[in-house]
Amino acid sequence: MKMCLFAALGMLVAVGVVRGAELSPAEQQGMLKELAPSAVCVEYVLQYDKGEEPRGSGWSERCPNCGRHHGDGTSSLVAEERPLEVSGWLIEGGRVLTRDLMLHPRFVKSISVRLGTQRVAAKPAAYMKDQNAMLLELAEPLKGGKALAFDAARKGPYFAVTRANENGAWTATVRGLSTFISETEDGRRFIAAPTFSLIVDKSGAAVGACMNEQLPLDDSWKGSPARWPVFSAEELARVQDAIEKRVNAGVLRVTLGFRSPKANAERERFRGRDDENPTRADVLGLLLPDRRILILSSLRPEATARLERITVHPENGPVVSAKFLHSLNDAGAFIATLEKPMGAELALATGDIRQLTAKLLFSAELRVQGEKRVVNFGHRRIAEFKTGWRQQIFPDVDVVDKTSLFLLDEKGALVVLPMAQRAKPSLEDRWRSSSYDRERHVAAGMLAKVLADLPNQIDAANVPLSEEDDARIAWMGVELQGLNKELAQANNVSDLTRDGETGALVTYVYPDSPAGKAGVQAGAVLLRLHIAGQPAPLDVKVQDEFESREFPWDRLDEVPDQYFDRIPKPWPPVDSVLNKALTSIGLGKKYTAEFVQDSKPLKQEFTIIESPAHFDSAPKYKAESLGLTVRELTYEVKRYMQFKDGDPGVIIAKIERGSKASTSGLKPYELVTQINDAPVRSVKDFEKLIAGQTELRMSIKRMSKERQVKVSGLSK
Amino acid sequence: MCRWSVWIVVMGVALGAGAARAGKEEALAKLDFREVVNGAKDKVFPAVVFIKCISETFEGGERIPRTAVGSGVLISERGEVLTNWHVIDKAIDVRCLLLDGRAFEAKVLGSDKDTDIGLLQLRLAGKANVPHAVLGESKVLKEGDFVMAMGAPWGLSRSVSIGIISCSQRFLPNLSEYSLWLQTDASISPGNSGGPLVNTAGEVIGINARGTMGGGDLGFAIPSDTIKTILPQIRETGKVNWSWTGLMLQPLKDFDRNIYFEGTEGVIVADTDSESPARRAGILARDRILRIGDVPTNAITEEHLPALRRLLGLLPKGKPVKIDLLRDGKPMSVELTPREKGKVQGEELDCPRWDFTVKAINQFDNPGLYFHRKEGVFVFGIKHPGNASRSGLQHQDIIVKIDGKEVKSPEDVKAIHKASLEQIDRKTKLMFTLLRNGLMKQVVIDIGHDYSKE
Repeated sequence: MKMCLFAALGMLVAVGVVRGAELSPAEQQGMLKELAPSAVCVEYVLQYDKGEEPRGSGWSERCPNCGRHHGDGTSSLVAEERPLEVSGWLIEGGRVLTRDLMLHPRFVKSISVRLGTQRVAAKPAAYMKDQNAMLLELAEPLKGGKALAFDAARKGPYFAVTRANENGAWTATVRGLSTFISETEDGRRFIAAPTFSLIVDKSGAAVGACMNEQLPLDDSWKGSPARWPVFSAEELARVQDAIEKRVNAGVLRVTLGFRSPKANAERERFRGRDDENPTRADVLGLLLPDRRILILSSLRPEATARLERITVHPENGPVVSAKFLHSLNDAGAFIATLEKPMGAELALATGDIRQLTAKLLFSAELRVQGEKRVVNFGHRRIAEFKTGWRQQIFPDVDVVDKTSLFLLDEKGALVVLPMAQRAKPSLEDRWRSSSYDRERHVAAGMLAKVLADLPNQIDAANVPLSEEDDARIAWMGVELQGLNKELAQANNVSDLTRDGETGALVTYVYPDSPAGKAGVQAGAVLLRLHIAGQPAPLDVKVQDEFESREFPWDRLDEVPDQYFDRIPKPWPPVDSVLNKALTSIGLGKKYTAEFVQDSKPLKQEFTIIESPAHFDSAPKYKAESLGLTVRELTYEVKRYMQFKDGDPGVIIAKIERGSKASTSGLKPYELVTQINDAPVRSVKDFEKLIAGQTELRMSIKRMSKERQVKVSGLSK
Repeated sequence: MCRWSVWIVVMGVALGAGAARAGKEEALAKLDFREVVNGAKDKVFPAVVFIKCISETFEGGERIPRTAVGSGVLISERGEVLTNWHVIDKAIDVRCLLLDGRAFEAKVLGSDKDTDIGLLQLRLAGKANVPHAVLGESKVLKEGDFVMAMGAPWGLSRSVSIGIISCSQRFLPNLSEYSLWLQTDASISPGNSGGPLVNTAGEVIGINARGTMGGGDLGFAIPSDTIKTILPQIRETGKVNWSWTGLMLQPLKDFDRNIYFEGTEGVIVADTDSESPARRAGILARDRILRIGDVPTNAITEEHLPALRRLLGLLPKGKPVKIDLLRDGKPMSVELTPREKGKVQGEELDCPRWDFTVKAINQFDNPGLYFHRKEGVFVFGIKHPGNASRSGLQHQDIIVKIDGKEVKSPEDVKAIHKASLEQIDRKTKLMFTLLRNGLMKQVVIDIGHDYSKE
C-alpha cells in the first residue's frame, strides 16, 4: 500500500514537470480556493445485515503502481467505528454529486455530507444511468456551501481536480489532462483522466466531470452532471420491483436428487466422510423457452450419472418435475425439460456487453440457503472487461461470491449470469486448481449463442446413467506405476517427462485391451494423451494410490464377519486415474497416447471404449439361503488370481453376517469352483446348481489352495 | 499332606472318574505329595541346563547377532540336550550351564522347525560325566495328571512350577503340522522354553515350547512320543527329513464351521499341491482317503490330522505306497510315491550398503509369494534408515531383476551385490524390477549413502 502511494506521488511530480508550466502554483492555489466551498465529503456509516458484511464497490483507488484497486475493507470500517468516506461536489439544485458505491441499502445505516466541520444528513436522490455516479439530497443546506455552476462553453486547457483522503488528510490535487488520445477498434476516442475528477478550466470554473477514467473526445462529457440521464430514487425502486417479479418468475430454486453412491470400503477408509457424493443439492435454474430450464450446477460426469430427480420450485404454487436433457460441454450447467410450463423466462440481452460499461444495471444476488431461495436486489455497474476463453468478453464484476450475481438491464433482460466454466478432464493431482471448474460471470449473449448452437455444445458423456451403466468405466487396459526422477532416468525418459514429474511406467497390459491389441508392452512408459478437441495434452500423472502390501490371505480366517465389508480388494482399483479420466472424456472419443517403448517413441491412436465387466459391474447372484453373493470372474480378478481360462470359479463378493456361508468359514474374495461335484463356470451355473438343494458340497479356493465345505439344512 | 490328598480326591470326583480309578487314587492319596514332587524334581533338576546362544537374525534388514537364552534337558550321558528349535535357530555359538556350575560349549546336532525341537551336543572334555533325565511316555497322559514344568531362566538357578495336564491332545491350528500339543496350566515363562515337562515319576514327557503372554495358565509342550519318533532322524541327519506328498487333508467333522461329511471313516482331500506326488498319483480334491498302505486313515475331527500327516511325513521316500480312497462314493486305489520335502525355509542373505536382507521364496514358508514366483528371492528385512528404505523398497517385494539381470536365488543376489560394491565409485544406482502384490514395479536404489559410516 505504502509503496504504491510513494509511486503515485512520484508520478504526480512527473506530470507536474510536464504540465506545470501552463499553470503556476499560485494559479492552482487560487483554483482550489475557488472550489473549496463546493468540495464535500460523503460519509457512509455501514452496518452488517443477516451477519453478512457490507458489500459494495467503487470506493477503492486504482493503484498507479500495480494497477489493482486498494481500499478499506468494509468489515474493518465497521469494527473501527468510522464511516466510509468518498469525495463529493455540491452541484446545482443543492445536490451532491458522488460516486455510486452500489451499496445495498440494507448495509447503510446513515449517510451524511460534511463540509469542513459541518455535517448534514443526506439520502440518495438519483442514480446516473450511464455514469458511475449518483446524486444525494441534503436534509438541509450546508452553510457556506456553494453549488458548482458548470459551463460547457469554457475553453481549454482543462484540468482535473481529484480529492482523496491521503495520509489522514483530505487532499485536493490538480492535474493537467493528457494531450495524448486513445482509440478503440470500434472508434471510441478518449483521453485518460482520473476517475471521479472535476474538470475545470484555467480559472477553476467547472466544465464537466469524469467518472470512468475516460473523457470522450467528442466533448459529450462537458456540461452539468445535473443534466445526465438518471433514475430517480423512486423510479429506481419502481423498476427494481418489476425486475424482482421477473427474476422471481424466471430464476428458480431447483432440487437435484441423486441415487446413493455404492458403499465403497476403500473410499470410506480414506475419507471417512462422504461430502463429495451428496444425494441432494439445491441449486438455481434459469427458465428457458420451450419448457426448458438451464440448471446452474457444474456436475461432474460421476455426479450426473447418479442424477435421478429434478424438482423445480416456483415462487408460489406446486413444484414441477423436470427431466434431464443435455449437459453443456464447456459451461457448468445442464438443461432439463419441465413436465409442464411454468413462470416466464427472462430475455437474454444479446448486444455487445462492452457497451454497458458503467451503465446502471439491476442486480439480483440469488442464493439457495437451506431450502430457501434468498434474493437481494440492488444495482451494479460493470467497470471492466476481460478477454477470456475463446476470446469471449467476460464482465469483471467485483464480488466475493461469484456464484450468485445476476445482472439485468432496465427492461428486465438478463445481461450477466453466474456460470462455471468446466475444467477439462485431467490426470492431475486432484488438489490442483486447474482440475476444478472455474466460477465466473458470463454475458447472457454468450449463453444465447450456446443455446442457438445446442447440438454442438452438449457433452454426451455427462448424462444420468442407470445404476448398472454407472459402473461402466473406460479403459486403455494397462496398470501403471508413477515415475519419479530416478525411474525416469533409469528408463531414459527424463527429458520427456520433466525429470520424472509426469509419465507412468506400464506394469501390465491386459491381453485383449486396446493397449494389448496395439502392441503396448509392460515396461513401456506412457507419457501423455492428446484428446481430440482438447488443446493442452493430458500429462499422465499417477500417484501410487494402491501401495498396499501382499493381501493378508493367510490371516483371513481371523477376520470376524462384521468386518468383511471393510476388507479392501486385493487387486488395484479398476477406476485408476487414467481410466477415470478416459471415462469422463467420454466413450467413443478419440485420443492419441504417446509412449516410449524399447527406447523408441510410439504414438498410438485409440478410441475410448468401455472396459469389459469388472468386479463391481460383473453379473452377480445372491443365494439368500446361504447368505452369499457371488460374481462372475472379471479381467482384473483373473489377472490377480492368475486364473486360466477354462478353470471353473465364481468369486465370493459378499457374505451376510451370521449366515450359513459365514458359519461355514467362507471369506470374501474366495472362489467357489465346484458344487456337488459339478464345476461352477458362471454365476448362472451357480444359480442352477444351488437351486432347490438343501445340502451343498462346495469346493472353495483361496488363491491357490482349495478346501471342501459342506452346508446342510438350507431352505429350498 | 491332608490338604493335597483332599484336593486330589475332590478332583477325581469332579472329573467323574469311575470306581476303577478310585482304587488308584486311594493309593496315590497315601503318598506324601511333597515327596512325590521332590522325588521327581530331584531326578530331573540336575539334567536341566541353561542355554545361552548367539544367533543371527536378518529381520532388521541386516545380519544382526543377538543373544538368545532358554532351557534344555540332558537326555543322555553322552551330553545330548533337548531344547526348542526356536531357542537355537541360526545359532552360531551355544553355551550350556549345568546345575552343578559346569559350563560347556555345545554344538547343534539338529533341529526341526515344525515340531519346534532342537538337539544339542555338549562338548564334553574327556570322560566328563553329566546327569541326564529319561524320556517318558506321553501317550498315557490324561487330563488332570500332575506335571511339573522345569526350566533355567536365569543361569544357575533352576525353577519348577506345578500343574496338571489340561489337555493331552491339543490341536493348535497353524502350529505344527505333525504333532499335537500337551497343554498344561503349569506356568511356562519365556526363559523356560526348551525345558522339560515332567511327570510325577520324574520322567520327561514333553519339552515346553510356548507359554501365553500375560497369562500363566496356558502352556504348551511337545509330547515326548513325538520327540521319540523324530529323534533318530535328527541324530542321524541333523534334521527331520519329512516326506512330501502335497496332500492337503480335511477332517470329516468341523463343528466350528458346521461342516459334517457323512460317515466316520477316512479323511477328505481338501486339495493337492500343484506338481506334487499326490497330484501325479491322480488324487483329486474331494476324494476320501480310507487307507494309506494298510493303515486306516480316519480323521473325524482336526485333532486327528497331525497323526495322519505324520504318517505321510514318515513314509519312505521314492517308494510307492497304496492309497485306498473313495471317489464319488466308489472305492479305488492309487499309488503315491512321496518325495523329500526339502527345505521348509528359504536361505537368508544380508546385503550391506543396500541395507536390506533377502530370503529365498519357500513353498512352505511363503505360499503367498510362491504363488507369484516359484523360484526367487524376496525382500525379508529392511534397515531403517537405509538406502532400500529410502527408495521405497518394501518387505515381501519379490526381486525379479536387478539392473536387468534375472534373479532366482540368494546366490544371484550375492553376485550382483558383490559387483555393485566393487564399482560403487562409478555407479551408485541399481534398478530393481519387483513383483509387488503380483504386479511389476520398478524401484531405483541409490546406494551412494553409507548409513553405517561413523
